[in-house]
Amino acid sequence: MPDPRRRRLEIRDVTHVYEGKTATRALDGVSLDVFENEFLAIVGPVGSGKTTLVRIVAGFLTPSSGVVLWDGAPVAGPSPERGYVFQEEAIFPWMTVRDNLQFGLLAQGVPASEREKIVAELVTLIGLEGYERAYPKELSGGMSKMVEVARVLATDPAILLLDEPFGLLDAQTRSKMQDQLSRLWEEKRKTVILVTHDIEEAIYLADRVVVFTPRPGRVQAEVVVDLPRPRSLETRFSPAFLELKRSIWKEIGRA
Amino acid sequence: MRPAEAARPPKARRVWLGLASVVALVAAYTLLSNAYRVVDPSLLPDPIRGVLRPQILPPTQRIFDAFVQLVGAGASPVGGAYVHTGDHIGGLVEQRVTLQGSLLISTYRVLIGIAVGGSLGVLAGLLMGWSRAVDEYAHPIYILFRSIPPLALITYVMLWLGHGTAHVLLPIIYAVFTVVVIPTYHGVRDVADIYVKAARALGAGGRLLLSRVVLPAAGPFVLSGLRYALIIAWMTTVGVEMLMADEGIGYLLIGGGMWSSRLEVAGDPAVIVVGIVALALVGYAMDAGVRVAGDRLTEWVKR
Repeated sequence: MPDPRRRRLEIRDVTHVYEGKTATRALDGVSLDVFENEFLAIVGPVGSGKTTLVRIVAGFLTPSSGVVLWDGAPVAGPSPERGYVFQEEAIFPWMTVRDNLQFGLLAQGVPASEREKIVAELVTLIGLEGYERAYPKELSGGMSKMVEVARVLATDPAILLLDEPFGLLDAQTRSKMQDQLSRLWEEKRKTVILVTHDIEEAIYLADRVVVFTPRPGRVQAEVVVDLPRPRSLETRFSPAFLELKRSIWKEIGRA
Repeated sequence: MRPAEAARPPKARRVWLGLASVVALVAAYTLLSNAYRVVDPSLLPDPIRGVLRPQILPPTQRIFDAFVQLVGAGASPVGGAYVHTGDHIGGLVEQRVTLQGSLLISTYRVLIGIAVGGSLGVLAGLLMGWSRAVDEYAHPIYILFRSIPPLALITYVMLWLGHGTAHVLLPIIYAVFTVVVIPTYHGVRDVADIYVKAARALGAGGRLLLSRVVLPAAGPFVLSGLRYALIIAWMTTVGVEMLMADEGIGYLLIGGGMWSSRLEVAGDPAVIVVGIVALALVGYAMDAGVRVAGDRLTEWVKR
């Protein structure tokens, strides 16, 4: 399904070794393409190098070998063009919701009136009206994660990299946040890479799921998710969803 | 919204209990310091006999008298009824050294120390925490310097600057500087990492990164460093004033002049207690000020 679309990201034979007392091979010859407006999910066990791969795509890490091309040009360092949402809490606790949301815009010299407009739109989109002047400590964990996602979206990046964004949340909040993210994506239609160890989350959100092997990470399988959108609670219990879940678990069992 | 606040005892109760503890302390001291009128101290066992004397524990009413005299010292005519230049309080009254005047000049010195030493210290901590190269270069020198007690600098500073205003201020500035560097350094180096990464990924760099991310992230650490620096500044100020100043609360405590030249004046315990209590109160007030201002600045911190 993604094939006729424009290829934005090319990952070519990327290997990464963390040097140290005992060198750890995190990634071993990973090749992947990501297409325009595609929602790609990467699943795999802890330590399978998923996070390492998105960090390389973000430009925080340089691969030991192999290349990452963004629109045909090699990635060198982080850029607001590739928005990154951390696994850890990275919302600025000393800034209000509003100041967090407009920080990237400020960095890019967007004029104040324009910033106000974008912030107002994002606040509505994530349902935080009335919380513009609140500090993150007044928000729930799920909401402050949503602010982080929106903060990255504010600068309109070409690709959104989500590194286990809901990993620290409880199951109920997580499913609520997945619904919000799904709606957000339908509104914005961005290219997204989501890293997660939650297989249901991956199927529920993505167009395509890539399964990684345990360390060192390699692409073990790719599963196209052709569930209709918009997706809802019903989607999670549809036979097609369960069938996809079964096939991914099978791939993992084979690893 | 904040459950921690609800769990705390109500403010009125805290204030009353606090006041009650101070009143109890004063009452207990008054009883103890007047005990020599009832019991002959020479009959008591040794360490108590030595301490329970008005020369060591002046009765509360003597302290109050000394307080009134010291506050009014500026107004009383030279050579007035109470002046005995040979004793502690007489010498001070003769020189028109008042309690409030001494406190004012010491407070001014402390504030200069905090302002100059604090900003230099924050700057140094920021640079060392921010740049590996600066850290590797400057850290050993810093540790070496930090090990010098501020008062040990006095004579050397005097060789440089002579007997002026700066020689009193320099050790204080230096003391504050060395205290503030480390918390700032750790605040910048250890805490800001994830925030710096996030800010960089959002396209921020340079001044914006430093002023809106690194400094606020280190803010609570800098503030607790400054609170501690305030204590150190007072300690150093009083020390310097005792040794080499001709005004200030440290000067008042030893009855004027330099320590060495005042050995013939017996310290008046009442004056000393007045000075110490005044120092404690001013220190408390300044700390409360920093705390309130700090809480306002770091309203965002999860408590």
